[in-house]
Amino acid sequence: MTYAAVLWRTASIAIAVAFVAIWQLVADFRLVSPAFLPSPLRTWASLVRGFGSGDLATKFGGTCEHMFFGWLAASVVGVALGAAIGSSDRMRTYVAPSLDFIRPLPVSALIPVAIALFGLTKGMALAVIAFGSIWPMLLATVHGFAAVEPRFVRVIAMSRHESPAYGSQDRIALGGT
Amino acid sequence: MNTSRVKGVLLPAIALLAFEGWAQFSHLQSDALAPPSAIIIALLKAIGDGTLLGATVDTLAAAFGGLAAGGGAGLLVGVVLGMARPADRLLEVTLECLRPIPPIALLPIALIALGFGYRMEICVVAFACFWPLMVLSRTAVRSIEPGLIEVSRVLELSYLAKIFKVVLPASLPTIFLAFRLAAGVALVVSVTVEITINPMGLGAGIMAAQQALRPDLMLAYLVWIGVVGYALNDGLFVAQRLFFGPNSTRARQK
Repeated sequence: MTYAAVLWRTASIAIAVAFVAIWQLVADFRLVSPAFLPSPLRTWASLVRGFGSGDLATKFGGTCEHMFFGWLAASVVGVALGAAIGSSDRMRTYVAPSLDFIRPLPVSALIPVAIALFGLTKGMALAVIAFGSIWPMLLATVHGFAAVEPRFVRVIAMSRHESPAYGSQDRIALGGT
Repeated sequence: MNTSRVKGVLLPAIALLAFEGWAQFSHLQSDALAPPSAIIIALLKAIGDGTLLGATVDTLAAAFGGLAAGGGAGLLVGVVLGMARPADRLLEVTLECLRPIPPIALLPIALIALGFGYRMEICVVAFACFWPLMVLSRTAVRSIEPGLIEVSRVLELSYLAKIFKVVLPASLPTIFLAFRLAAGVALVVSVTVEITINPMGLGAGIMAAQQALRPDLMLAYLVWIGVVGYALNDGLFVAQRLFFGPNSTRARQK
């Protein structure tokens, strides 16, 4: 970072601090009832207390765990399904329109259905998270597989003639994606 | 074109028929699943007695209210920050600290401050819609052809005239794209707010159907929410092509 950039960043942090100071003043002068707007100092104290007692840390860990496993499930399923759809024209004509219809569905609308299916369990949470985060992965994979240079595919076809066991189309497609 | 559309419908149609057959054959008794025929009947009944349409109006009113408030504010801030680089750099830390907050995490605060109802939901939706419009309009304004800005300087346009005659028209395609993305966000957030706490609209309807152990009605709501989401997405997509030409949607994330 250049000198000027450091200066700008410092000023920017100072502005953010000023906003917090205004918040503190608003709370100190009780412009808003403290029940709705506790001061930043009290909020900070309560944050420290939450982490101190381990309560907040456990919850934070739980959320991170949900996020990670949901994302993992979405990645695995998204890439697998995307590869299947992207590498075949037939799959694209038959399956892609259904995906286009499901995609705009607000994920949260699935929560009641997931609760009815799985109960209030971790599996329910993971299913909803995975469904919500699968789309970027799935669509990018479909697109990536569909956009593989046709010549590569022909190369595989030719290499198969000579040494049948060599070379999988997936390897080239994943490399290209 | 027509045959490809038929082929696209084929898979879901077969899946639904198979499910219907299986449900009839096994005399399905479930709290979570219902045969498609029962879902259609529940959907038609809910449309017939007006509850579904009432809930749709509630949800869309909150979603568009929030979109207008939050998107409008985001547009204003985005244009100002896009034109005034120093202001943008000074507010960077503040905005980047606020942006990653998930809108749904604001629910408890919105609930104590505003109680149940439209106001609370609109505020949460507005917070969610603020960001796409702010970020994209800022980028759009910043990447306007410098020649256009120079023209406005040569013509000695006032600040407001410059905004309305040069900046806004030049960045309109991106702003509309941001609006389309934000509309999708608005629908998702408003349904989520309703499912979580706010007792109104489609989200509350689907939650009530689940708790009343009416899987047919619950899935009917789900289908309907899907139709609303699809219609909103497609309608805005068509509008974008209509206003800005077929090229405007080519680079969309699909």
